[in-house]
Amino acid sequence: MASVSPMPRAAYELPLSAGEASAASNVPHARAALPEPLLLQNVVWFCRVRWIVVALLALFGLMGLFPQFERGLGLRAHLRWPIVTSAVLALANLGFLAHARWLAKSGSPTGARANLWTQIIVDLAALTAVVHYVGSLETSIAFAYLFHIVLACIFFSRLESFGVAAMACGFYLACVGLEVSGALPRAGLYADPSLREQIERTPGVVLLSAGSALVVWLVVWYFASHLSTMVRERDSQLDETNRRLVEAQREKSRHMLLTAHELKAPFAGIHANVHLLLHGHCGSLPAEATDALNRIAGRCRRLAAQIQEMLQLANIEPPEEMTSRWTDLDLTEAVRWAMAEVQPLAQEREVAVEPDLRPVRTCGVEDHVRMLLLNVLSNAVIYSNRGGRVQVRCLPGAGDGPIVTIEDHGIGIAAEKLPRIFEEYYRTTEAVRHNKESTGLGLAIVRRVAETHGIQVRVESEAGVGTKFILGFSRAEGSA
Amino acid sequence: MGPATAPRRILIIDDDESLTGALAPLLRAEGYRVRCAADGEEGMRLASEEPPDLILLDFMMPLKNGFDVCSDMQNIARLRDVPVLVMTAFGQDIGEIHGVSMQKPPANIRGRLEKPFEVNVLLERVAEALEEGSAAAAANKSP
Repeated sequence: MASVSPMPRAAYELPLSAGEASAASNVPHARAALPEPLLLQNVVWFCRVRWIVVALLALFGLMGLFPQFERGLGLRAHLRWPIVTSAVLALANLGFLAHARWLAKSGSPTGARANLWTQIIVDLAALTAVVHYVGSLETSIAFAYLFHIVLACIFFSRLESFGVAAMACGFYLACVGLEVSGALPRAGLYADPSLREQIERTPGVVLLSAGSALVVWLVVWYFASHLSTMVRERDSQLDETNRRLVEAQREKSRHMLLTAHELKAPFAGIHANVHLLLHGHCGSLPAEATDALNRIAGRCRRLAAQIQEMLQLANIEPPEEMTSRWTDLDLTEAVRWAMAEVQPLAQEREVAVEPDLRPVRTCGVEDHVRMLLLNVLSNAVIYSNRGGRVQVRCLPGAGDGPIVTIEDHGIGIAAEKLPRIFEEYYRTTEAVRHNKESTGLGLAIVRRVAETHGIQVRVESEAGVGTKFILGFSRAEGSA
Repeated sequence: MGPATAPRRILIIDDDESLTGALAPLLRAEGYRVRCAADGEEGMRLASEEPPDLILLDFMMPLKNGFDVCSDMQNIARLRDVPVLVMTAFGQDIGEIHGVSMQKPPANIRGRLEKPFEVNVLLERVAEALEEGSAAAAANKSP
């Protein structure tokens, strides 16, 4: 008998949701350094700042043309080194900028970091030359290294910025060492060399002078890199929170759609079955049964409408959440659609809907704009008296954008109640008496759509005379 | 009003048996020949066996959803031109939930009935869709 190999045992572990998984790992992983596109922006900014240094060095060099003036300041005559350093930096800067332009075009994912590193190394070398010529021990010029140390803390990871700090220390120590040992000829900006000679004669002062500079740089590096890491960590947390919010919003929308489906779909079956019974497809029914079925059908219809409106209201999101659905749309066509939708109701209530429509366009989420128009228009029909008329006008506005007015001559609204009609579930007693089936959410939907679309809504009404809604839409993008 | 002579064939594809169970006798009473399928796979099988004149199609179904049914129909020559009326509880955002664009809906969709709908509205839309389908078929046959 052939042996049957056992089926491998299947296993499944319920994955943690995105939120729980992140919570378990505590804080989102912080960025070690600035992202590459931001680094590229800083490459260009760094180059722009360097032009200022180039200009200052050139100006300083040109002071050498006036030796008496320099001597008057107690400085040694100089001309060559600032001009040469300025020229070298200018040439290097042109190279950096050309490389940055190439990076922007080619979209290279790693070039910006290399460019910045090269800039920093060239700068440190040029700065060391300046430090040598200005005076490495007798002036405070050596603290100019701090600019690069702090910038490296902003641009790079902590380890990389420490590399820059160490490099600055190395350049400076090399400069001082070569000067003190005599390998480099004596330089310095002061005309009187006695201060320098005095420092060099006292090794303790040399050590204290250079050492204190190094300690200060390392302390600055420590604080700057620590703060920079904290800021980046915070930045990462904000990014992560933002991403989760967007994801949650998307999930909420999807959930609302599915909920709407699950709540609305069964009513189709209920309606169809009630219709089947009421129309005698299952045999004749006693009058009491017919009455009961009519009550079931009516209640189902109202419940379905209520669910629909509750979900519509919950699903209207701010424009920034609906950018993909925001379009230029034919407002006149939307008004025509609302009129067609409301037509059966108007016929039932013997209300004439009289249109005066000019072609106008607006922008927004089409089904939300339609929802707003349908709610205002169906209210106008519902709260008209039997045999009444509703006038619908759609006109290009005088200045800002198209105007839609919907005017009925029905029960109207008392002045003191007007400010409350847009509240959820608010209904005036007159409205309840006139129409018991309203959900009280229609105008809350109108308010929400108006808020998200920037639609101006003005209501003019008089109890017993009628109500006029004036809707000021925004102009379609690109329309004159 | 249903047809007087050759009964038009309607296939209802919907997993809600409370709906198909009521719609089938209502449509039969109007003189249509009606068959029902409880999911997209069964619907495609029934449609392939005997192409209907109209399909009433739900979109949110197990095994094969309405979008898949529509695209499968496009690949079968004798089902390609069968008109489809979509019955769904989704609104304009029907495409979002299925991750497809409704800017260009499948070519054979002739309209959408949002659930819950009035039976009278359904009967009107069915008659219209069948009439349009007949007119389109006649136009295709004429030289």
